[in-house]
Amino acid sequence: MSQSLRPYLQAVRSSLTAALCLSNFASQTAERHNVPEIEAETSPEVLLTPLTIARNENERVLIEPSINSVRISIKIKQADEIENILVHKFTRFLNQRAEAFFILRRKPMKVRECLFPSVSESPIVALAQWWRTAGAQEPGGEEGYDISFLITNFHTEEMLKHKLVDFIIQFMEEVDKEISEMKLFLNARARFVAESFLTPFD
Amino acid sequence: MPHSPSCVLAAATGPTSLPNPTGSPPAHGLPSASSTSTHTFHVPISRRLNLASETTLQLSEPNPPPSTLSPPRNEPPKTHTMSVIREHTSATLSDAWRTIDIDSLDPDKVFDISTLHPAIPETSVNEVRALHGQVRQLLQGRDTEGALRGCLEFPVYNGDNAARDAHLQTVLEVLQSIKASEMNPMLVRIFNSEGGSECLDVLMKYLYKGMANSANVAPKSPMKPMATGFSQIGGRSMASHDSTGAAMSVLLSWHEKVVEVAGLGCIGRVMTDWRRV
Repeated sequence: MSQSLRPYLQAVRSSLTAALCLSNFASQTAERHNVPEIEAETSPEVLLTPLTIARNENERVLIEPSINSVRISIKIKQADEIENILVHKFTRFLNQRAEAFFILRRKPMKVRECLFPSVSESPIVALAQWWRTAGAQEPGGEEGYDISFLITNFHTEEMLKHKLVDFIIQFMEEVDKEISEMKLFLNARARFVAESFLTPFD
Repeated sequence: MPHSPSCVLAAATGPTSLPNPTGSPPAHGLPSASSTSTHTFHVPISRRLNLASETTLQLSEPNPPPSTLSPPRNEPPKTHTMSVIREHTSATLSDAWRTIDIDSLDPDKVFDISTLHPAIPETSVNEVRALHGQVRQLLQGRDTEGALRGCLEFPVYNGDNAARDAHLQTVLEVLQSIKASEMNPMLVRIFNSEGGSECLDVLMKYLYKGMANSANVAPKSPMKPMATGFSQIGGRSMASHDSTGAAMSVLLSWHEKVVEVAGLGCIGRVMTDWRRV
């Protein structure tokens, strides 16, 4: 494990452990409903301060806690366009099988850190800032996150909390290896294909 | 003689059942067995007609006559309590009114976020700059602990973005000037002193803000597609990549040390505190 990866994962682990303190909380707007408040965003008083952990500008994690749910968004390292495509295909593959993963969100978060204007800011300033950050990103571009998880209080009741944290950390470790492995394999195959294609012209 | 009553009644009903002027029995489908049968046949029809006219009269009776005291025309009459929409316009026929969020107009349901934190005096950019000057003097005098305490005791909770960013830069400058071997003993000293727990909470807030901010100010797209169709990170953007990576590793090692000293409750207080930096 590289030198800066360990404190990064350690920070994610401790932040996640602190954020996964969830309790059952019924919706305040609809009777007999129980929705993840971080997704519904109907009662702002139960949403907590979002935390960002960054290793560099290409790798970061956004943890958005609330009273009964936590949304975790991960930006996977992408050094060039091939990795960009590979990450997109890989996360798409997982998102299409989200039911089997329980805590996987079907769509990654695209808007970054603009849902929570500062306390003192006027709504107009916040809206302008949101518009700037939201307008700056192209669909499927560099901005935003590659994959998101949504953990609710029902997940923490059914599953062990430290195992959930372990799963996220292990996913972050594995996905980098997986992507670089796929890239190496892709390069080797492309080289072989190019060689065999050009052999008749030799 | 037997035809006379039917003749009178037929005149009342209409010209279709006019009797034959010749007095012969009628040739159309009516039963011609006896004259009494035609008599009994015609009376119920007339009765039915009379009943019909009566019912229409009864229907029109509840409506107030125009001569009596009537309400103004734009107000609905008070006798009609059931009807809601009297006239259909394009506004009532469309469904647009269903999308109005009436909860937001209900004063009972609007939660005032500003009640979640105490009143905070506003900090201006000039105050932050003055503090930055003092902190820098302490740093030059090798008093790193005093510098760290100094900038953590005056966080910018209420201020514009310029003040917030300026104070973040001050904190980051102090953090980067402290050696890795000094971190742990210094944090323990601060934590055990008076008000040290709050200082470390503020430090944790700035660590998260520093990491979030670096992601925001990062170059938007370091990759530029080349003419060959293959692209890689260029040399210059690689340099900025390294510098942000180095800044982040400083913040990450501070984060680890703060969690070691102050525990996970420190992160919990950062999340739940509405005084955001």
